[in-house]
Amino acid sequence: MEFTDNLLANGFFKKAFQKESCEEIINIALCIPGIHVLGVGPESCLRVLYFRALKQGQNDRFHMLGISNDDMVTGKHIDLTKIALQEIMSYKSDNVKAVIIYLSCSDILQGSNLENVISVIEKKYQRPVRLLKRGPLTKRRILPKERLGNLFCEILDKYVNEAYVKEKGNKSAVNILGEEKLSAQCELFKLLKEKGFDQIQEFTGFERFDQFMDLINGRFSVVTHKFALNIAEYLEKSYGIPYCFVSSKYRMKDIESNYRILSESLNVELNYREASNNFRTMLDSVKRDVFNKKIAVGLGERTFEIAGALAELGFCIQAVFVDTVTSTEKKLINFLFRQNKDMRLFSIPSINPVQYESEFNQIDIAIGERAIHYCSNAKKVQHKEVYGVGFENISRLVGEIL
Amino acid sequence: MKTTWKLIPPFASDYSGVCSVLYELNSLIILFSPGGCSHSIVETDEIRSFNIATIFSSSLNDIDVIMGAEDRFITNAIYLIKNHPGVDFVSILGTPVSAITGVNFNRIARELQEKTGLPVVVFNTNGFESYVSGIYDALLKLGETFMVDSGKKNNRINILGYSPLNIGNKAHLNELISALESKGFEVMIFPGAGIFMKEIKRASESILNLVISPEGLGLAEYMQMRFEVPYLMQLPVGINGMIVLLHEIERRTGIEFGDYIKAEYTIDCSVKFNTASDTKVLILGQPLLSVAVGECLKMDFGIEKVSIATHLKRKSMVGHIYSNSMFSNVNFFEDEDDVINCMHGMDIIIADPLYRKIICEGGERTIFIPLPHIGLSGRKFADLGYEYIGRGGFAYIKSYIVP
Repeated sequence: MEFTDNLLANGFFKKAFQKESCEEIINIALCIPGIHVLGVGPESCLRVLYFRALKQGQNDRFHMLGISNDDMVTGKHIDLTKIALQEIMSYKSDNVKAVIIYLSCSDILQGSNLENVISVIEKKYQRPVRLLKRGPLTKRRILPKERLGNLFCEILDKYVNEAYVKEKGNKSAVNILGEEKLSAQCELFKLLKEKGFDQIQEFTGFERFDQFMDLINGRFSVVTHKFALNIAEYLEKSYGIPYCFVSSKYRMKDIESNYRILSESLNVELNYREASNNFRTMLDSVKRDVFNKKIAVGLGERTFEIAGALAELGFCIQAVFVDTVTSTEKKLINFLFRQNKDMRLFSIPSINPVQYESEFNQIDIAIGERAIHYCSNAKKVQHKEVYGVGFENISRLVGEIL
Repeated sequence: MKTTWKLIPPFASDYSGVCSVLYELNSLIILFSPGGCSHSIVETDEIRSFNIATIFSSSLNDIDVIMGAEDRFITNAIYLIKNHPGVDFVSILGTPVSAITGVNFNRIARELQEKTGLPVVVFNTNGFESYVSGIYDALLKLGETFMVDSGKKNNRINILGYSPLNIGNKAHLNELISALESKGFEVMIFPGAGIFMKEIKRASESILNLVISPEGLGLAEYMQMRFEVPYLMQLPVGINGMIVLLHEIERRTGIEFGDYIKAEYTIDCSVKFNTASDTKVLILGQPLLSVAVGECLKMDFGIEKVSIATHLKRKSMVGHIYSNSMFSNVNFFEDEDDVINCMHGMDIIIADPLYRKIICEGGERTIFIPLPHIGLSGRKFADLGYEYIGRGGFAYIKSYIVP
C-alpha cells in the first residue's frame, strides 16, 4: 500500500479542472414551473448561476440582483432585495407562485436579516417567499440541497389545503423524487411499467405548478437522490405516501440492494438475476487483454466507488486521483489495495507532475477529468453519470472503456 | 430603473480577469475561497486548455472563516508550493469572502515568500468588480513587480492587454502579428503563452507598446513613465483599421510599411455595399473593439449611423479606465431595459450571440452579426468562426451585410 505523503491531512486546496455543470442547486431550485428564484450577491456568483440556468433553459424564472461591496457593507442590499421581490411579484404576477431567494457566501457572512422583508412581501402578495442559504459555508448541519427540499415542502404546504386533498383523493401515481430528469428508457421506468405502474409523476418533469401540487396524489414515492428525501418524508408524514430510496449505483452488491429495496417497497417481484446475467454476458464478451490495461480513475465524488466497481469486475486499477479522502472511503481504499498492491493513490494537491511523469505515462486508460489531466498518454474516458437504478451506469462505463 | 437582470449575465469577475492574465504565465495561482469561487473560471470564463495552468482554490469552511484561516492557508500553501517546484512565482487572489472578512494577504505573502524563497504576488480582487479592473490591475502589478530596465531592442514591439475575456482566442491576432513580423519586428504578447520570468523582465526592451484593450493601459502608462516605452492604443479592425495602425507604427518606429500595405491591403473598398445611407447600426460589446468596428463600418463600408453601447458599469476602476475621450460616444447602460430598448429599430446589430434572443422579439428584419465577447458569454460561443482584425475582419463583416 502506498499513499503519496500527507494525503489525508491535505484536503484544504482543490485543483481547478474544467467542469461542465449539471444538476446544480440552482437547477433544482428552478425546476418547478411557477417558482421563481432571485439570486442575490456579488456578480461573480450570479454569473455562474446564470450559465447553469441557461444550460437547462431555465433563465425565464431566474432573476439576478447584483450587489456591490458598498451595498453589502452599508446594508443597502436589504432594501434592494425588497424592491427586487416586488418587481418579480408584479412580473406576470399570476405565474409567480413562490420566490426562493438564493443567497451567496458573502450574504451569509454578513448575517443579513431578510426576515422582515420576506414577511412584508409575503403579506402584501400572499405568496410564499423562502430563503435558501447555500454554498460551502452552510454545509455543516444540513446540505444546501436537503435544505432546498425542505423549502419545496413549505411551498407545497402553503398551496395544498384540505379541500384540495379531498378533491384529489385518487391515489394512483408513483412519484419520482430526484434531482435530474430521467430518460424515458431508464431501467427504473421500465421496471415500473412492467409491473403496471403506468402513471408516473416526476419531480423534475412538471410542466405546470398544479402538477407539483399533485405530488400529494401519489400512491408511492421513489427517491432517486438524497436531495428529495425530505420531500418524501414530508409526503409520508402529511399525506401517508410511503417511499423508498434507491440511488444510482455502480457496484454489483449495491445494485442488487437497489432491486431488493424496490421490490419490497412496491411489493412486486423484480428479476435481479436476469439483469445481472445480461450484464455478465456483456462483460464476458470483453477481450481478456482489456483487463490487463492499467486504469486511472479520478472524477470527483464517486471516484472510489467507480474504481471499486471496476476492480470487482477484474479491471486493473493502477492509480486513483482524489482531492481528499473521507473516513467512509477507507474501506474501499483497502479493498482497492488488496486487488492491486501496486496501486497508487494520489492526493491532487500533493502531486508533483514532473516527479510522477513516468508513472502517469504508463497508464492506458484514464477515467474522469482528474485522471485525464495527469495521464495525457492514456485513452480518455469522460464518464458522465446518469441516473440508473440497475446496471445502466456500469454497463455504459465498461462500454466507454472498450 | 429596474434592480434585477434576467436576460443578460453579469460580466466575468475581477478574479477571473486576473486568472486570465496569469493563465499562461508560469505561476501557481491560489484563490482564497470557500471553494465555489473557482467555478466561474472552470465552468464559464476560461476557454483555454486546463493542462496549461495550475489553479488551486482553498476550501474554507464556516469555522475557518469565523476564526480566521490565514495560518492554515500558509501551512498548506507551503506544502502546495513545494509540490510545484518549477513555477516562477505564486499568485494569491482574493474573493468576496476575503473581501468581507478582511484577510491580511500581505502577511500571507511575506511568510510564504520567506519560507519558500519564491516571489508571491497578491491580487486584491473581491468578486464584486468586473474582469476589466482585474486585468488592468494584474498587468500593472506584474509590471511593477517584475519588469526591470533592460535597455532597448530596435525591433521589439509588445502587444499589451490581451486576455481571452476581452479579445477572444489569441488566433484573432495572427494577422496583426504577421504584419509586424513581416517587417522584422519581434513581437511579444503580454500576457502570452510560454512567457517565463526572464521574458517578463525583458519587456522593457520594447520600442513600442501596442495596447489592444483598455485593460492594458495602466501597464503601458507605467512602462512609458518608468522605461520610456511609448504606447498607442488601437485595435486594427478591418482594412482601414490595419492601414491606419501600420502607418502609425511606421511614424513611430521609422520602419516603412508602404509596400506591405500596398501588397496586402489594397482591396477595393469602394464597392457600393447594399447599405442605405440611413442604415442604423448598433454595436454592443467590449468598448474598444466596438469603437474600432464602428470606425471600420464608416471607413470600409460607408456606414455612418453607428451607435455603441455596453453594460459595463462605469464605477470605480472601470470608470477610470474608460474615461479616455476615445470612449466619449459609448453609451454605458446600467439597466437591462435600457440595453433591450437600444436594440429596437436597428438595421444591423453587431453583438455577442447571447443578445440575439433579445432582438428576436420584434426585430426579425435586423441583420445580426455575431461578435462573441468572452467576458460576457464565456466559452459558450468562443469557437464560433468570427474575425475582426484586418482583412479577415473586413471579410467577416462583409459576409453579413453584402448579400
